[in-house]
Amino acid sequence: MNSKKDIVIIGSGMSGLSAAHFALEKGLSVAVISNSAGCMGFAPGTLDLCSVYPVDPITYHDSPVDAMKELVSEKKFHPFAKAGIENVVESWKSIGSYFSSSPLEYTFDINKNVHVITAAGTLKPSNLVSRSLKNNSDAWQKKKKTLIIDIKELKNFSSKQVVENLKERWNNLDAASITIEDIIEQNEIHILKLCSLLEKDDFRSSLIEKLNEKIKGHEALGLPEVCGSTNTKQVMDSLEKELGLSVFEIPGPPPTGSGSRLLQYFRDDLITKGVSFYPGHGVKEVISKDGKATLIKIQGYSQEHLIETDNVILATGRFFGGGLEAKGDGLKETVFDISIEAPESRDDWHMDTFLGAPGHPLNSCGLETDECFRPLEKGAPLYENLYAVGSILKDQDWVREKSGTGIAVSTAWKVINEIVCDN
Amino acid sequence: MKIQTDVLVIGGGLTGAGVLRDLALRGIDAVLVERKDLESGASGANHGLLHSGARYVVKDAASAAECVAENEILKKMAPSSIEDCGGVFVALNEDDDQYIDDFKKASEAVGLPFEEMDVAELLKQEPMVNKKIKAAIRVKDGAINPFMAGKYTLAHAVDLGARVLYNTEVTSMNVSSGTIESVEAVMHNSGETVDIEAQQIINASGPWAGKISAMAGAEIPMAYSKGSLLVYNSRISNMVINRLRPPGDGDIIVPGETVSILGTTSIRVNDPDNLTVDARTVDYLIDEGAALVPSMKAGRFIREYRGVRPLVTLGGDGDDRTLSRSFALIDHSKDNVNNLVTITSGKLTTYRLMAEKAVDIVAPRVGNSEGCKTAEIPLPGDEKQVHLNAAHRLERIKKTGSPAICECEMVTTEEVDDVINDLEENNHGLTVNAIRLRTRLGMGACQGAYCGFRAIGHLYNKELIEGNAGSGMVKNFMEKRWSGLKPVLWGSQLRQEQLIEAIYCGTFNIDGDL
Repeated sequence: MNSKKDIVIIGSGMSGLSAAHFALEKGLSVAVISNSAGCMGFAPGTLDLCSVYPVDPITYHDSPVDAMKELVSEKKFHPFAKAGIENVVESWKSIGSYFSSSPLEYTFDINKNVHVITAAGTLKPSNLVSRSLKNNSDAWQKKKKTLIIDIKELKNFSSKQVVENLKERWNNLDAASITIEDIIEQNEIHILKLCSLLEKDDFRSSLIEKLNEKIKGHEALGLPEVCGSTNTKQVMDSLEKELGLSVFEIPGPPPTGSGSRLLQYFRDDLITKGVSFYPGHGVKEVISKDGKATLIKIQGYSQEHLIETDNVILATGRFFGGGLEAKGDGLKETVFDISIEAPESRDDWHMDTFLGAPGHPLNSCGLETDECFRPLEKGAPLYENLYAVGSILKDQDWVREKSGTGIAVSTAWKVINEIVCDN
Repeated sequence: MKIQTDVLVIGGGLTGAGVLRDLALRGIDAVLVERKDLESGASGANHGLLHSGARYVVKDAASAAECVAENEILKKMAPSSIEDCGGVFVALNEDDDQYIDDFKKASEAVGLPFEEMDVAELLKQEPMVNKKIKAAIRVKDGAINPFMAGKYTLAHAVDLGARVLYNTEVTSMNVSSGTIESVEAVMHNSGETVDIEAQQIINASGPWAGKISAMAGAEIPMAYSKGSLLVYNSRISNMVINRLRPPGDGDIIVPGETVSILGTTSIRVNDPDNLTVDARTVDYLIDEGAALVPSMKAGRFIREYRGVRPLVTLGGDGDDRTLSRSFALIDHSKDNVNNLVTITSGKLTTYRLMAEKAVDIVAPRVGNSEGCKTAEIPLPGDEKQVHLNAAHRLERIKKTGSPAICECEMVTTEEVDDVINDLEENNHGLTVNAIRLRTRLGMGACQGAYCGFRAIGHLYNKELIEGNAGSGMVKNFMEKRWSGLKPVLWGSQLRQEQLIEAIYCGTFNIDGDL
């Protein structure tokens, strides 16, 4: 089966899907090839632009734009520097308004980061957040009289853990616990299963009844990330109306409710708008002509497809996403086998502390590109029409800078604009 | 604080634990002090091999004979901690034929049971073993979980009236006319000093034995041989797989419940503390291990750990593995200290015998004439008195309905609660690491990323910790695991680490302080 597209995007994480979104907006035809489900379900739905610079000692900025300006003034090859701050800002406003109009009801102020409380009882800085996470940060900021409730059958979330860690700075905060064993008739439930149960009216009513017994005298209610899977707006509306207070979610370890529903919404919306999705497909062969990658042979479980394309975007992520692979003696990029520089001895890949500053040297390794984000092999673009976006790029440490989504979105934006300009 | 007792035991490794239980079974009042926690020295940093004796049989017949006897005794006395999986020695095609002959002759001489196997039959039973082998000899090796053995041994001693002080480090000894009048120690949890008066003192501090005896003015010539071991992600063999050649690096693979342990190296170091490892050593170990099981080369290792063999030297050089691995029992009367006995060196497999011999010297000195009972009275352990493997543990989860806190190792909430109660009762101080040592929580592929976090949540739910104490605990736990994780970060385990870092730094922002 053959087809022809303006762009083939390899990878379906935040950077790949953002590239697909921006390409559609420019009227380009897109195929997205994805070996896995992408990593969005492993991260919470808090979309970070940039919060920390310098990373040693860790310095938080209220304004992501200020953080980025300081960052690019010192790190000339950082993806933000290559994209240009004005492009980062444009791209963020664009993706922000797109997510704002979704049922996830995202909101943001590009000049001000918000602080979201987490299941570890810590505060995490972010920028573009869904309605339930915005409620989270509002409750914290205004120190609302808040109750955190955990569900006995749901792992990885203890209301006492959240409250104990924060109570010194938030004296209006209380913890409570409910059990739903009588409704679900089992003693353990998966968070994503609970998300979809919340969309069922009768389950939600029973839950609301249980919550109602606890919330008296509170202005806000914090829950684990269980407020729906696709129709989170309806769930949030119903909970807030029936309970008569502000409801928010608290991100925990993966799989995450908020990240999983963002992934699902984003992907479904792109498919509706005409993106050809090839889930469970890997690149088998790239055929080039005149220095361009023109034919991509992809392989699914039993079928092969041949896609003719004008441009290819590599959005395969790092080690966890599978875009980079570390053998005992070095790194490589996995689809095109592009060389990646790393400290020569594995002893120098990581620091002697896990959580200390400035972050592990390996995390700044990645694809070397030109100014247009075209991967370089021996100093020259591997293909004239091959671009790379997102966390696979070198000279950034998204996990320490809290800049993951910012890098994904802004590099995708920049590359799509390059492609449009070239045409 | 002041403590009076008949016998003070210094060191809470398996030897010290064995000594304490032996004393308690003879009805002698005893106290044990341990600098850190359960098995935090050499007892917790070895293969977990219950020796058949075969490894030593060619060069060190005495050690081999001790192992033959103790192997049989321990299988009967400590069944909950031992998996009687058997072992095999395989000779690769390039290995020396002479050693095969020597091995068989020496085994016969010592009375070490062995059985020659048909190579094809072995490969059928152990399909991951290198196909290019010319000989296979079955022996009675087993796998012992030193943490469980230590836990049950100490628990039994405590039931019998002995006392255990963890996190308590001996700092000085007050010696007068050839007698240690008192021993001073500091309790790290509280900072409090404890003054211990004991008639007799047994120094079972393993690699630190020389440092302890020096406090009483008695010298022990000690050497430290560092060994690195690697934990492989899965159980790659049913039996212990040994290389049939003179003991060397990376020549043994021991199944440890759901994983396999590849060991080891032998490098002289000057200090038994602050051990490190480099990538070159790890790679070398894997290359050697891959000679036995080739698929290890491309497989996933989940961590590295290291320890020191405490060796009592008489000044020789050469490979430390050629020094006798039998134990050292020193009555310091010869150094004009009349109430100190040191028991060190030796092996995990002979810990019971070592304890017996040390207590045999000390018991008459405190007026006790009861004989040793540890070869007759089995160790209380799990309810069934059998080794519980992962499948049994899974079954237990189904049966008790107690949800798993650690899913890699199938550790239930109920088990964790038992340990927590125990730690609380003994004023041990609650840490995730203390729970890990007693349950295997955090020892699987995720290396504590989920279960460490969950264990903290559980402690909050039980109102055992408050304020932000849990955040400190989770950070400490992750940092403690890091030293063994860092050396194996490539391939799949690097992906695991990147997930852990994304959760802790990305989602939780725990690297900062907002």
